[in-house]
Amino acid sequence: MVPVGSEAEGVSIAAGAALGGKVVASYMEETGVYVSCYNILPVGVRYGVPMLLLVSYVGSFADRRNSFLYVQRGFKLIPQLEALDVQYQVIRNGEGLERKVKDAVRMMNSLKQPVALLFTEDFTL
Amino acid sequence: MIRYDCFEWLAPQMTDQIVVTSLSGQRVEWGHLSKRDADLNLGSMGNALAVGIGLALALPHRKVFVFESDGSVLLSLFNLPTLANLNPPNMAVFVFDNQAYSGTRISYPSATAGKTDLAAIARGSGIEHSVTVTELEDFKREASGALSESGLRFVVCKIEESLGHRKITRSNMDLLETKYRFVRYLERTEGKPIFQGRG
Repeated sequence: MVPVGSEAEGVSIAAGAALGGKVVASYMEETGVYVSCYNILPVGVRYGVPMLLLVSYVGSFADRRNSFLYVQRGFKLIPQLEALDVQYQVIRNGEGLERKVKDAVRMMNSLKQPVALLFTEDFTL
Repeated sequence: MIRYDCFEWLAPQMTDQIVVTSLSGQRVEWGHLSKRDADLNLGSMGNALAVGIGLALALPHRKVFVFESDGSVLLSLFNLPTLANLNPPNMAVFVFDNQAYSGTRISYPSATAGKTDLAAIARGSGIEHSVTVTELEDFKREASGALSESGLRFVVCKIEESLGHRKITRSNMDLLETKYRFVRYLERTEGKPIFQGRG
């Protein structure tokens, strides 16, 4: 695990490690997607580097602790990912979680692109 | 000091070191002087240093050189505390600081033309070997040290705002070609697959 000062550098460090042969994931709250979109686009998407984005999807409809603090950035998260052309899945609970993560890893390796898993509902309790 | 002179001296010294370059002059001049498969000419501001960190962590037995600019480092200053605390001994960062917004063509003085000292910021972030060089001989000494010695080093190279790179015919190699050239080189030399997945 590599602690970083910003999700932006987290994505770029992960990209470097992926190019060096590591299977990588970058863990962030959804604000991190906004912070790192500049890094996701030129390094992750344009360069075509497989990485998993593990995103805490607060501010969604299913967020059990939704609040005025999160909701604006929450409902704009998916349009943001779609604008970046990042494939994603919304994960609402722990059922079949291991398989869903493996599916995402297979997808990112097939696409050679960043792929996002958005954790909400039970994960927001 | 002129950046091209630094690269012209360094390029023939390189063997199996990985090089990551940022954008503009670093990318164009290094790409012109060095045609090695171990060069990752990233072509993006604010990303080369972090990508270099990732490579240095993934491949701790290989030396990673990063060629940055003042503008690119300022864009991602949060890299410096991260770099200091990770302290990869196999990494050397050379920041070519022309003290100007050169890429915009306006050549307006940048922060490092004023009060900002990037080497001091790096030292304050915790990078012990953080120095500023202004002469080609000093660059050669630091680069030779980076080639032969272990230990993280951060070298700010104060350079003239040369426009020489604009006269160099730019490579038409697409970024994806650059990536695959680099990754296939690592697969050959490391003896392992980099990209996973079925064909």
